[in-house]
Amino acid sequence: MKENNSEAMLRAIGGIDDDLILSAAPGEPKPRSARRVRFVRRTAAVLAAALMLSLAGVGTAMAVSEDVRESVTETIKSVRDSVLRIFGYGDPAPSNAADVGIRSDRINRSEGVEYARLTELRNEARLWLRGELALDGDAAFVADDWSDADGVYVCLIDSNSGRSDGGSAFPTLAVVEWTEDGFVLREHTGFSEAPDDVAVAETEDVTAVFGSTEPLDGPFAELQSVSAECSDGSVSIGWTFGDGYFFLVVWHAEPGATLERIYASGTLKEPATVPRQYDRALGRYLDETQVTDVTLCRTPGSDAWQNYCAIVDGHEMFFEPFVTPAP
Amino acid sequence: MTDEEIVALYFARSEEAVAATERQYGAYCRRIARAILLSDGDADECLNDTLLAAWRSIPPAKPRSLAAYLGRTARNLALNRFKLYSAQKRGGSETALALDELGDCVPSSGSVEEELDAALLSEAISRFLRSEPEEKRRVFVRRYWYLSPLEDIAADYGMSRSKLTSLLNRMRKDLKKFLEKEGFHV
Repeated sequence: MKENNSEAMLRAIGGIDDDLILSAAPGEPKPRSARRVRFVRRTAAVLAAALMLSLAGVGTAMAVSEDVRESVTETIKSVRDSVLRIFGYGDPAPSNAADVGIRSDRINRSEGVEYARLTELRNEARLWLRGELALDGDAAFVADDWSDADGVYVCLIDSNSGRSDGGSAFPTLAVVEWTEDGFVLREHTGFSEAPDDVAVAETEDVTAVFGSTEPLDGPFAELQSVSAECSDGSVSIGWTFGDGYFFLVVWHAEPGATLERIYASGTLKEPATVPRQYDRALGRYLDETQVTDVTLCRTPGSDAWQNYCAIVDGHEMFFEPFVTPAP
Repeated sequence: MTDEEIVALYFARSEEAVAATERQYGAYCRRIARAILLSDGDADECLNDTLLAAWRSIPPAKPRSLAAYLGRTARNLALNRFKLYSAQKRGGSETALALDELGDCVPSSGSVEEELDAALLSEAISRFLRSEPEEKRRVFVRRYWYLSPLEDIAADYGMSRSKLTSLLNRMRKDLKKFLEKEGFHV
C-alpha cells in the first residue's frame, strides 16, 4: 500500500506547475538569493561564534581541566578569527548573550546535551554554529543547519541528565572533527560524569543523546563506530573515541521518540561464531564462520550487548535470532 | 524555433512539428526518461512514445510551455514503463529510491490513489513548493520530478550530500503536514 501511495505521490508531483518544473531543470542557474542568504548566515554565524566563545569560557571554567579548556578556546578563537579576518569584522564579541539579542528562552529544555559546532567549509572559513548551551541553566539557542559534513565540533555534554538529584553540571567537553574519514577526536575530558543513559532534549532537531558511562572495553578490542535508531525510524550519528568512550546524538526524531537500539561496530577480543545460513543475495548457504569484525546491538538501559551481524566476504551474516530462514 | 511556431506546425498537421520538437526538446525528454529507466534504449523508446503522444494530443492541447508539457509526458511514460519493468527487476534506481523516500510524505490516509484527486494533490504540492524558499523548492523538484541522483543535486547546489538528505527529509515531513492540513487525509 505504501508503495502504491508513494507512486501516486510521485505522479502527483509530476503534475506540479510548469514554472516549478522549468526553474529546477538540470543546468538551470542557481537562484541569486542563495548567495545573499549565505552571507546573512555568515554574519549571524560570526555573532554566534562570539557568543559561543563567551559562554564556553564561562561554562568550562567550572569543571573542565585547564588544558582542555584552553584547547577548546583556542580552537574556537582560531576559527572565529579566520571568519573575522575574511569578512572584515572588527571585534564584535559580545560580553553576554543579550548583547546579540539572543535570549535564553530555551533554558533547561536541554537536559542531556549541549553542543556547538564550528565548521570550516570549502577552504572558506565559514562558521556555522548550531546548538543549545545549557550550562548550569544558562542557555542560548542558535539555529542553523548543522548537517553539513565537514568541520570541527565543540561538544559540551552536561551530565545533569539521569542524576536523581538534578545536580549541577559536570560538563564533558570534546573537540571532534568530522572529516571524510569520519570523526576524529581532537580533545575530550572523558565521560566520568556522563549521562547515565538516554536523555531526551526536546529541541526541534536534537532529540536524544546517549553517552557511554564507561569505556566500551567489554567485548571489543577496538570500537570503530556507533549508531542508533529511534522508535520513529530516525537514526543518529555516533562519536567514538579511541579509548572506547562514545556518544550518540539523535536528531530529526519526532517529539517523544525514544532510542530503540544502539549499534556498535568494531573488532572483538575473541572470535564469535556466525551460524550456517542462507544468503538471499548469493542464493546459497554460507557455512558457519568465525568472525572478529562484527556489529553488536543493545537496548538503552541495558548493559548487555547482543550479537547482531558480521560482514563476511562482503555479505551481511546475522547471528541468531536474525538467521534468514531457508526458502 | 519558438514554442508557438512548433505548436502551430502541430496544428497545421505538418510532420516538421515532430522533427522540430525532437531537435529542440529531444535531449531534454530523453534525459528525464533516462533518469527513471537507467537505460539508453528504453529512454530512446520513451522519447519516441513522447513524440507520438505529442502528435496525437496537439491539437486539441495547446501547451503554453512545450518543455514542461513534453517533459511531463516523457516522465509519465517512463514511469509507466518503470512500473511495467519493476515486477521483473526492482531496486537500486533513483526512481525506486525516490519512491521509497516519498513514503514519508504520503498523508495518513488509506490510499492516495483511491481517495485523492490527483490534480488537486498536484495543485496542493505546487502551493507547498511556492511557500518554500527558491533553493529548497528547486532541490525538491530536482529530486522528485527529475529524479536526479542526490550526488548530482548536491554538486549542482554546492551542498554536502548529508545536508541535502537532511533538507529533503525535512521537506518531506513538512509536505506531509501541509497536505494533511489541506485536508488530504481521512
